[in-house]
This record gives sequence, structure tokens and C-alpha cells, in this order.
Amino acid sequence: MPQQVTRLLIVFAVFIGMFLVAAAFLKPASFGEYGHYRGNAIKEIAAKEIKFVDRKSCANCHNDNSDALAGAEHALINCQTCHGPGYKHNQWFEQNKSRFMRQDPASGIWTVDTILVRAAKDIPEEYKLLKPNERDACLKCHAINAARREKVVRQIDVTDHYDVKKKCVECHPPHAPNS
Amino acid sequence: MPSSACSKFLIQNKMETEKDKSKTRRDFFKASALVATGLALNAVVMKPGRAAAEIERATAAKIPDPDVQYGFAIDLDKCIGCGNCAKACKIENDVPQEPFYFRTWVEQYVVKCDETMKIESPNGGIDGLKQSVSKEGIEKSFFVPKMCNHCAKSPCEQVCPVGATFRSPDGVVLIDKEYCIGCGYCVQSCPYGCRYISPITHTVDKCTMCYHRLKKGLQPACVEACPTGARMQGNLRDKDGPLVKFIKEHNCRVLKPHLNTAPKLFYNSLSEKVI
Amino acid sequence: MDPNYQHLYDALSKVEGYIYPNEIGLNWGILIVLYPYITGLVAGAFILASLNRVFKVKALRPIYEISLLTSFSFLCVATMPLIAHLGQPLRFYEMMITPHLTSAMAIFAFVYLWYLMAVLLLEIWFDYRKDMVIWSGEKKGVLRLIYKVLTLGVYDTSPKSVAVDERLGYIITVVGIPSAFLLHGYVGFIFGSLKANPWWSSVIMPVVFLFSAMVSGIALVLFIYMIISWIRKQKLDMKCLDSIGKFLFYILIFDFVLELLDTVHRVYTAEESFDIISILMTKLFFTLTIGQLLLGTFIPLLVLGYFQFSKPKDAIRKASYFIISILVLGGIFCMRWNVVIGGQLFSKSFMGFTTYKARLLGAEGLLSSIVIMIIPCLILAALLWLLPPWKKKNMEAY
Repeated sequence: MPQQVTRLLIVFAVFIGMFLVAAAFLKPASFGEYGHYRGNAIKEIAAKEIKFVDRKSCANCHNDNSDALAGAEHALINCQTCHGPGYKHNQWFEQNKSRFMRQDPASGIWTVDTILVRAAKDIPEEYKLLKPNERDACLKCHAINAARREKVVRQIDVTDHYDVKKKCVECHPPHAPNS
Repeated sequence: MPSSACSKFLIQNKMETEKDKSKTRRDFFKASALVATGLALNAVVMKPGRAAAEIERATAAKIPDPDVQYGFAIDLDKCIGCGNCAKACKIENDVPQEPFYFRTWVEQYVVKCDETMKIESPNGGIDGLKQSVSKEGIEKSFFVPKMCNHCAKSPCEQVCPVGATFRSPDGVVLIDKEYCIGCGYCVQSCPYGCRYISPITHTVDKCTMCYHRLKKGLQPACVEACPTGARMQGNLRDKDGPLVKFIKEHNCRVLKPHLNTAPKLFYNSLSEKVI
Repeated sequence: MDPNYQHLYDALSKVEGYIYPNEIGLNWGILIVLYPYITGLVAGAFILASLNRVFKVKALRPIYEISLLTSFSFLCVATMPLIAHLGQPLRFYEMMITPHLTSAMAIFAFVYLWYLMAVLLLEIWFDYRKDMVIWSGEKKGVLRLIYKVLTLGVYDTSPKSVAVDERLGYIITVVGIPSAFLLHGYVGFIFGSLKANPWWSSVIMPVVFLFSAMVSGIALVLFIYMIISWIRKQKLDMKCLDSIGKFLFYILIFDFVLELLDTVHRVYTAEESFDIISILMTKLFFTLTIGQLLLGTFIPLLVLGYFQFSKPKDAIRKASYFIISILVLGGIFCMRWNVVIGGQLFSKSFMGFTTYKARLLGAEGLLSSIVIMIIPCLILAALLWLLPPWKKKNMEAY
């Protein structure tokens, strides 16, 4: 074999060898576990924290509102649709939970005193939920719109409905609007 | 076409599971071991009142679960265009608030009497959608929420040069943001405009079907936030489940079927005008 | 308002019709215009070199080395715009270590490396090996060391050894032609294979890219050859210029016919996407009608066509060739612009348009693009100084 060819082959072999070594070191460990991707990525994505909490957890304390909601027109709507995500609100509760525990004298079981929780006034601003009561909040769903089906949602043409300066919630309590 | 397409899809997926099963048996044992450890840990840490619910969730969370094919359906008859889904999605998934980045958004279609069409989606519909066409000029109008179609033959997964976008064994198209190089090729390949380059991570981003919530036994944020139950998420392999039942019982279609991307997002009452 | 989003708000205010909300900002900007432009120049310049070596076009001998070195210089920077536009440039290596085999972009990295290492570097090395051995004997100091390293320690200049260089160089050129086709056809495929975008999705996209690559590469070598001769105060070889002009003319016709075919097909079949594409074509008036068609195609075709029948004075032809080379280079740039930017201006909903305004500063700005275009010129200057074709001993070969 001519000298220049051998020399070139050596150079190329070194280059390819270096590449293969680098590739072996750089390739993530879980790559190819399920397919051509990092298997751990699935677990990382699944581990992300949630912000909209389980809807059941609202009723643990705010049973008065959930009772009002049950059976009313808005019964199927998640609390957080109007009040915003509950994760921070829940965090505050978990941090201050001990304050609201009460022991049942008969059975000795500790439970959360929901009335005590709702009476708490010291919840910091950032942990508070939204309490939208302006007209626009209602009109996002209830403004008349040709694209909305009347059988799905009741609609109102606000320009000629009662006093435009009044808030909707003053006449229609949001948790049980038809009461 | 819709129901036959759906059953064909289910058959195809069934076949895939059989293949997957032998391959991932070992992973399955590994996962079960993890779950078991998790349960043991939970039992120690958990406070008595919450334990039952948490255990229920931990059992649901097999990550990934090859026996499941997640799918999605939207009942357009029920959509009222309030935009709560898009709003909740941005919060749940830390999507930038600027009106250029959406994992889901709501479009308002107006077919006018003169047969022209107007589509609007200001700020993705987050602030609610209003009619800009006068009542007299409207022939018909409807809302269409859009999101990632989690295509079974996803063009984005096909073109990703490094394997940062992939279809999980449970049928969700996901993005590995630690591995994405941010080339934007997948953004170009998505016919539905569902992807964007995040200005925060400089990697691509899109709907994950709230995979992190599914694995905690919860519904996606958009489904939770929808006031009318127009959005449904479920398991396409669960023949008796609500999702498959809904798809079977309604005239469901997918978006841009001619592109053969095999979406797993099914729409009821989808007008042929929708693009 | 966050100034980082200012350009997006500007674009939002100019949106026409309906576009998907994620489509307001263009993902691929001017850097991705440069990417097919530069790879095109590489492939085109190489093919011009092989015309001399493989197809024995004797008149092109004076520009053989210049074409090769030009091709190499531009290839060195071909990946720069690609890497610079990435959201995570430091993760670029992932494309090499875990290439996704169904992705056109992942395979491009290997096509690129093959072309750089196995074709261009080797061909230049075999072509210059004997000269580098001689120069390493003549020069002193660092330069001598550089030549010695470049020869890889092979100092054999016997006729037998040189004949081996000759033979292998020829084989590599033969392999190089399909490789050059592959390189640029592949770039066309990166766009042509996206079914989501009707402006790109076309079977003949790779072929169109290939011919436009040849056109631009030939124009570039023509331009560089004239500049180099002017700097060195050497007389231009008119036979060579006419020969380049002839090839440019033929290939420009091919290129034009292919693009015409694509357009005619689109107009006649008038598929779902045709309405939006016909509006797009009017929106691209300056880059498409003026830049690409009038200045970049029609005027060069007319002038070059005229030269095939009659030969005006040398001075007129020289000036014409010089102007044509610039016009064609500009025209092909406009063509890349129309493909890359044009393809993102309309929504995949086919219902509306966004706008694009190249920014001056930033990684994706005009300035960095200009820098990326200047670097290969500097590399070429360095290479011409290190490996001057005019000092080669075998100038009359091939």
C-alpha cells in the first residue's frame, strides 16, 4: 500500500476512534431505554409539580361553598376555574394545619375544624385565591355570542340587561346563580 | 369514517402493545419495585386522612405505562369559548404570558352570510372571545380549541435530529427539554402550529397532555378548568372507558386527516371549515 | 413591555388574516437563509472543479484549485449559521452522538462530515501533497513546520508516488460529484420533506436546490477568480471566463426551467394551499420578482445567451461577467430567502400572514450574518497564501 494511503488511514482511524470514545462518554445513560430518547426524561416530566390541585381538596375546608354549589347550575365547574390554581393556597394550609386541628372529645380523633380555617384572616396575599366578581368574569361564559349554544350556557345581552353599573354577583350568587 | 378510523387505530395500538410487552417486561418489574418502595415510604410519611387518596394515585402512576394509550376528545358542541382551558394551561405549565406562546388556545370561527370566513383568537382566547361580526352578518359560528394532537405518526418526532421529541410508550408526544437543541425543525414540521420555542429555556415546548398530572391520577389542567365538560382525556385502550365510548357514539373527526399524522385528539361536530 | 418581545408585538400588530398564535414569530431567520446559501456555494464550486478534472474541460484548468479552495473555505463555515441559530448551541454535539435516523437534519451532520473529510480535504491534500513537500524544503521557520505537518510526514515525491496521488485524487473527484449532489440535494430535502408546509413540500425541491447551488457556486468562483486576478494584477484567461460563462448559462437555464415547472405545476393543480401561495408570491415581489427572477435570472440569461452567439470585446465581456456573477449571487440569495422566509410568512392554517423584519444585532441578526459571510473569505485568503495555486509545479496537469 502506498505510504500516503497508510498515513491517511491512520489519521482517519484516530479521528474516528476519538469520535467513538467521545460519543460513548457523552451519550446519556438512560438513552434508548424505551426508544431513541432519554428514558429518564419521561420520569422528569412526570415529576413536575402540579398547580391545579385535586378538586376534592377544596371541599375539605370550604364545605359551605361546595354544599351551595352541589345541585346548582355551576355544580360541575371546578372551583379553580374561577378562583385560580390552588397549590399555593394549599401550601399555606399545610404549613398552618396544626392551628386548625381539633380533637373530637368522644372518639379522640383529630380533624380539621373547617370553621376555624375559614375564619383565619392572616393568610398572606400571595397564598390567597382569586375572587373575581367583576362583570367580565361572568361574561367570559355568559355574554351573548352566536358561537355559544343556548342549551350549553345561558347567555345575556348585557347592553340591555338591568343596571349596567351593578355587578352580576349582586343579584346572582355565583355558587348558586339560579337560587 | 371516524368510528372505523378509530377502531383501526385501536387495533394498531393493540398490536404495538404486544410487541412492547416482551421488550419492556424488565422495565415493568423495575417500575413495580419503584412503586412498591414509594408506597412503603408514603405509608410512613403520610398523615392518616390523606393516605388513601395518595396510595390510589401512586398505584395509578406507572411511568411510563405501555398498557395505556392516552387520547383526548373535545366536544365542540359544548365549547363556549371562555378560554379557561388556555388560561389554566399557561398557569399549570409555566407557559410565558406573552401572546406568542400557547400549548392550547381557542379559535372562534364565523362563517359569514357572504360565505367568507373569519377566524379569530386574540391572546389565544384567554380573555374570552367576542364576536366582531354583527349578528345579521353571521351564517354560523363556533369555537374550536386547539392543542397538540399527540399524533401516532407524529411528524415532529420524525424530524427531531437528536431524539429530544419522542412518543412515550403511553402514547403522549413529549419533549426532553434537557436534551432539546432548539433547532426548531419540529416547529416547522407540525401542521397544527402547536409548538413554539420557549423564550425561557430556549428549547421547544408544547402540550404534554399534562403528563405530570396524569401520572398523579389527575386530569389535565385544561380538562379541570373547562366549565362545560367539553374536554375529555382518557385511555384509548380502555374499550369501555368514557373516552372510547364518546368517540364511538359521536361523529368524531381529526384535524387535517389528509396529512396522515394519525392524531389522538378527536373532535365531535368538527366542521369541514376548520383548518 | 419587555423589549425582548417588542419585535413580536410589532409583528402581531401587522398580522393579516388568521394565523396560529404560535406562528407570529419566525423560527428560522436570516441565519437559516445563509445555511442553504453557503452549502450551495460549496457544492457548486466543487462541481465546477470536477468539470475540469473528471469531464476534462481543459479551459477551466486555471480555476481548478481556486474552486476547490473556495469550496473548502465555505464548507468550513457552513455549519456556523446552523449552530448559531440553535436555542442551545452547546448541545450541538448531540446530533452526532445520538443522531435520529428518521431526521433529515441529523443525517446532514454526517453528509457534511463525509463531504468535508472524505472528499474536499482529501482531494486538496492529494492535489497539493507534492507541492507541500517541495515548499517544506524551501521555506524556513514556522511555515516550514506547517507544511511538514500538512504532509503528514510523507515526503516521497517520486514519479510513482505522485502518480498514486494523481490516481487517488481522480477517484475522489469522481466520488465527490455524487457527494456534492448529495450534500446539497440533502439540504433541499430538509425543506422538501416537510409535508406541513406546502411552499416547501415538493419532490423536486432537492433538484431545484442542487441546480441553484451549481449556479451560485459557479458565479462565486467566477467572481473570486476575477477578484484574485485583479489583486495579483494578472491577465484574465478569457477562454476560461467564456467557458465558465457557458456553463453558467446552461445550468441557469436548467435551474429556471425546474423552478418554472414547479410553479406551473402549483398553478395548474391549484391545490388547497394555492390561494395562500399565490398571495405569498405577490408579497415576495422584491425578492422573488425583482431579485430572483429579473436580476438573478432573466438579465444574466439574456446577456450570457447573447455571448453564445457573438463575442463583444474582451473588456465588455469581462465587465459583463463580473456584473453577472454579482447578480446571480444576489439572485440565488433571494431564492434562499424566498424559500426559507417565504415559507414561514404564511400560516399553516392557510388563512393569513405574519411579517418578518431581520434585526441588526443579536445572534440571529444582520451583523452576525455579515460576519459569517466574511469569515470564509478570510479563510480563502489564508489558504491562497498558504497553498498558492500559481506556485504549483504541476500547473499543466489534468
